Amino acid sequence: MDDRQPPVVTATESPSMGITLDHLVDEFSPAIYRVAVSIVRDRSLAEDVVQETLIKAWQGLPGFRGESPLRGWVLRIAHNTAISVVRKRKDDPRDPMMIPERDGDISLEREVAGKAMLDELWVVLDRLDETSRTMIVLRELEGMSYEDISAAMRLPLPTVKTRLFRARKTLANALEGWNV
Amino acid sequence: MSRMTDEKLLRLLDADPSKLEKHFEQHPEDADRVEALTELSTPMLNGLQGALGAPSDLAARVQARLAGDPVSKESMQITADLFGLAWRTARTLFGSDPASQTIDVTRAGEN
Repeated sequence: MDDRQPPVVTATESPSMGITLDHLVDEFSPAIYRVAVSIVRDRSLAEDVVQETLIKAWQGLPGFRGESPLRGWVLRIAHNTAISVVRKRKDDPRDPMMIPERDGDISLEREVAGKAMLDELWVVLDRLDETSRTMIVLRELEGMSYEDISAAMRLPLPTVKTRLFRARKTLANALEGWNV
Repeated sequence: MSRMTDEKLLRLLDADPSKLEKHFEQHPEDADRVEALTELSTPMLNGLQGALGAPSDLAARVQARLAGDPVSKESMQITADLFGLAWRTARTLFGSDPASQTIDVTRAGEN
């Protein structure tokens, strides 16, 4: 085979890494969704963020140098995209509610903890800024290391730790009864 | 800075996080202590999973949306076409891979 032949490039395969869009979707959709819904607080909107993030990630993949883990890189795109969506909605004069209410997946919520408890949790999550909410998702749900979160969020390691600890303390103080 | 009690570390976390950051640089073991002190309980972690959990059919739904969205398909095709052209040009001129250039899409959402 002549190695000077250009590679066959399709719309669903990144030429530089051989990663397909299908792989990105399967591997990262749930994590992107968790970051997105923590920020936009609306499940339908979060799916829009998932789609937009995957397209941005796939398009940017040729420039990804692997200096930080791919997961962190993708989730930072998700974080930025979700914040952008929230800001656009805040700027939209046709939307008097500014930020949408969560529509909720009732069956899932009931299965896990009960709607009243989850509503309580959302009230507390709303007290956190968007970056802290993303950090909670990255650390507590995605299990990322502090170092990887630091690289993904482009924040110094001590800052990541103090912000995350403060967020956890806020959650723990407000939901003290959950520890019983 | 001298060794701090748990109470003082937690007070500083609320009152002066930047001071605590500096303290962590000198005493990383205290960061481990605060981490343990603020660890979330299992019910809270379950609650977070419930509140922020993705639907089980999310990947399939996203695949379908991407396949059915002409704007997505078009933008992906354009990217593939452009990259393929750039790759062929670079290989012709330099014999190298243009993917070494950095495109910082991680700032795409920042205004």
